[in-house]
Amino acid sequence: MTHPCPLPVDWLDYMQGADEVGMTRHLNDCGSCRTLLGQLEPEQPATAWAERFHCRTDAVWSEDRPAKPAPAEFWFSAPNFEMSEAKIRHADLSIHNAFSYREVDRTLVLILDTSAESHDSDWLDVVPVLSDIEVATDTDLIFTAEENTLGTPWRTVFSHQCKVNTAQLDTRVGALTDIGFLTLTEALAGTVAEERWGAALQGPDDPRARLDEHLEQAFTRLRTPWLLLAEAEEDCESTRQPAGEPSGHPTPVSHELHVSRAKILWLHPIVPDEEMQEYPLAAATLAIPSPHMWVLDTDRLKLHGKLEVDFQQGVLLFLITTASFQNIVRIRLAVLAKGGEHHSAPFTPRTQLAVHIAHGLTRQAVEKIGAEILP
Amino acid sequence: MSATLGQLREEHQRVFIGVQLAALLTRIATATARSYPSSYTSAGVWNQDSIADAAQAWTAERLIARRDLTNLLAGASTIDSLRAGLTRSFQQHLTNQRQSTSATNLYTRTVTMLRSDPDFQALPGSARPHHQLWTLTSDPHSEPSRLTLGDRLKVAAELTDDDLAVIRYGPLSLKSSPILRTPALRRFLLHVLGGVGPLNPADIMDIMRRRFALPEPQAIELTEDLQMPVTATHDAAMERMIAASVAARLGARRAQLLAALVEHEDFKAAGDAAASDEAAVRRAYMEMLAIVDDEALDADEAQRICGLTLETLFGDNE
Repeated sequence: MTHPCPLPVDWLDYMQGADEVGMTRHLNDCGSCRTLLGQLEPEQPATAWAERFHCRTDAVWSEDRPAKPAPAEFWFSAPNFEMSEAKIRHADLSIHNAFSYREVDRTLVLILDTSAESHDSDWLDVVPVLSDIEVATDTDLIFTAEENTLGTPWRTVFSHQCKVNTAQLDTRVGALTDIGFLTLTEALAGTVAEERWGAALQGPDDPRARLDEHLEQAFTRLRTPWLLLAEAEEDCESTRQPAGEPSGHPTPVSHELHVSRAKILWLHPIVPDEEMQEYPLAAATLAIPSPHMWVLDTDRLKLHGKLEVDFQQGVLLFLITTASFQNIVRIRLAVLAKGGEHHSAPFTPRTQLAVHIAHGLTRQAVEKIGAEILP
Repeated sequence: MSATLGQLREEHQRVFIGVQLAALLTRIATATARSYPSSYTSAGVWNQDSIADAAQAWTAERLIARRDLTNLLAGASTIDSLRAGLTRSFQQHLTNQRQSTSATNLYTRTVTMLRSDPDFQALPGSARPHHQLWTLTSDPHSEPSRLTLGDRLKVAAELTDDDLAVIRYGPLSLKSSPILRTPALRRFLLHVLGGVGPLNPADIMDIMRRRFALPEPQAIELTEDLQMPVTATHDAAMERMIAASVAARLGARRAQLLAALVEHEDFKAAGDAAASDEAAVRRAYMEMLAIVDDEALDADEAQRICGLTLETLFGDNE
């Protein structure tokens, strides 16, 4: 097992005497860190450069803790959170639905909407915000420094929009200005100017397609409580006799817990028998079976396509043969295969589009395909 | 002794950057900068002065303008996570500075082509080079384009990446000539000016930035004798230094996967040998290429640096 590498500054400390047994052991196993250590010099650099930034307190935020978050406010997530089994409405849930975290890094989020779809007003729609706007993709809405009271531009990572409990939020640090709020409203309505979004991903090797691991973990932590409730709700509904009682939570949207998205529409594989039933005329005239065809047929999105492997690149592709949609700008595909979860880059559905799924996957390995609708 | 997270927060609230934060930021900049090649500093060498310059630019552009320092201090749960966040912020600063240089090269090439190619002509009346409007000689227009950026981007998107043979990642993506080779750049300019109407260089770069996902180029003066970037390759000693910096930034996991790839010369076999999978090995390889591409000036050099990097890592493991 490979342990994560210490930071360059850790190696500078190590070089200057901060010896730790673990670091010495790591050094023995890691050629990369040995090379790094060889490039460092045991220097005590001067700090005079920082004097010009002394007393720039205009760039320091202040935090407060109002009773309830409001739309368009920036909040830090809470470092501690606990959702015990008792918090979940239905008594017949198993113990594994309890969830907690302690002393984790706080994440900055923008509150989108406080009127939760459910009757439980403790749940809010939020979207994480990051400062590295230069790597924004076409699912990241960009706010300028003038559009918020924090005094800096942001990219709002809509591909990780989620619902959080108010107990998952800690302190408020700022808000969108009136003009920023207008931009947000336009974005949610789908009318904001194209240039307010980042540039589209340029392919599967675009480094912007992957978030740093610490961010993935932070965003997963944020969305997990709601998804646990949704999962529990689904379990309850499936065992209830008969169904029909109105639920306190929205209909669960994800069958597998680890496919943790809020708006996934699952495609269905078309096996030859189904083809015979659904398309008898076509089946009668076409002798070639299509076992790797998948279809989604909902009012909002219709998608037909087939899995193919690009053997030169070693990439599993989903070739769209038919696509039509309403009120959707972008989707991405979520694929369950070999016990893992894989995602395509966001895209706008269109006929003849070849969507990259993942390297090294075969068609036979695919268990489920979902279309995740992005804001 | 090192300051605690609480002490750093208190100092930050009081004076933004005081003695303790200055010491921490300097150490992070010093250690991190030395893992990058000297081409990441305009001084051409990492020493106390160039590191201080980089730290100062980082503080102005990220820690203040992006509020990274305030955000990271407020969000960090431990001093270690603060150090990790600040290291990432400094790395983002160095990388962004470097990519801006590549975008600047493309901007320079574009202006040089507009000036030298008879298929393009300047409209009279522009006093400053950045505002100079350009149109097609074969179909000249006298008024600037009135299309919105969104409409301009639609015209730009009519030529696909395949049409333009766009090369973004991999051993043929060159620092000196990013994204578009000369014939494709010419085709792109002809198409955009034909479809959109007269544009100035800044407008064209804005379209290119969004069409090809480029960072903001650095400000340059468009003098009459604008020079194309020099594209001489590095000498052998410099290539070794670059390879060492690539190896230093790969980290243990990617190094392990790549060492397995050198040994087995096959993605799948390497994945099996490293208790991983083919996709992870391929990703590690592509990430190495992306780092190399920031340095290599031609395809042969990219290949040599990759080889030297793998030699460094694999040799160490023997």
